[in-house]
Amino acid sequence: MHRWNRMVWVAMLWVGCASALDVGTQAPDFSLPDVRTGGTVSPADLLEDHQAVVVVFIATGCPYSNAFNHVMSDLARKYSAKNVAFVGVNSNRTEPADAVRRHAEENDFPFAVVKDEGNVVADRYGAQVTPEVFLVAKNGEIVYHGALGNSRQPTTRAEEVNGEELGGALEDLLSGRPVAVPRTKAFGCTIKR
Amino acid sequence: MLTPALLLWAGLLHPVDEVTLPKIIAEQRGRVVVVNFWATWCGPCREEFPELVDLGRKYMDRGVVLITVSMDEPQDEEAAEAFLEAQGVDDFAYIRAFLDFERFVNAVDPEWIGVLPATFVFDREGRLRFRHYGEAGRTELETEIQELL
Repeated sequence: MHRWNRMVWVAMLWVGCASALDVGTQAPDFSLPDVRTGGTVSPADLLEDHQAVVVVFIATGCPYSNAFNHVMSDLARKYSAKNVAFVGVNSNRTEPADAVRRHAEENDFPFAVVKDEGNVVADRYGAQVTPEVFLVAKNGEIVYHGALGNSRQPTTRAEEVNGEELGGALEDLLSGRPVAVPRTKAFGCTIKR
Repeated sequence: MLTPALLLWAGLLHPVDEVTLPKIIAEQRGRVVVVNFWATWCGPCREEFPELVDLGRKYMDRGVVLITVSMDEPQDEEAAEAFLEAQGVDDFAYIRAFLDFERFVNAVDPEWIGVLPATFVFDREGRLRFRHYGEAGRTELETEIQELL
């Protein structure tokens, strides 16, 4: 485990789930099995050999989150070529691991999806919504938090959604620039705790 | 004399944006205002809605007003109206018409990230006193209302 992970773990014990972790803070690590392969998924481990990790809180039954399924997949494919890993996290108490696995299979997500039993990861990140994104840089710092896209005019229509906000943040990060818009509002369904 | 816009408008839902919503809340000064944001596609929103309407009715005569804001898109206005009619809501019903979601959210509560449902309770002076992200919970909401009355 990285030094920053241990430090963040200790810090999070008292921070609790009051509000979302802000940009500039260290992302908490977690270690959970991929619902499809069973392999362990850990952002800290992924950062060993990736430039960045996108942690995105998703749902199986939220129409707003589901409208973005193809956007998540497209971005994950596009940026895997640029050495960015995506991890989908389902923290909804009402959506069991088996449903999460089926949802990942049906949508053919090209990224790992984990089931966050007991909302532990959601609480550490302070995530409230699906979909809600935390972009984690190589050094473990959160550099973008918020929506995948459509932050000005949220829509449940899959044909109208885009990944402009996360895409812009990724482009900035990978180009070595500060992320121009590091925070947006992440409209969507509440994470059921 | 009615303007063409008013002549055209015949629905239950009134459009509301980042400028008009704070004014609507402010106009209710002297009353406790409960503002609920919901959408037809939001299951928890629909589930808790009858309780909110019931609370609004229960305390209406004591100076409580329930304002509901549908976050549905214009294409879903008919479905939103049908839901409200089924719930017996016939006043203070609005639908999003904001230019910028972030500004709209911040105009209500900068701490609100945009999660639905969301319910906010303003006191008689128009100050935001309580916020609920996700389902409000009748008991908690009723306690808050009683505290502010």
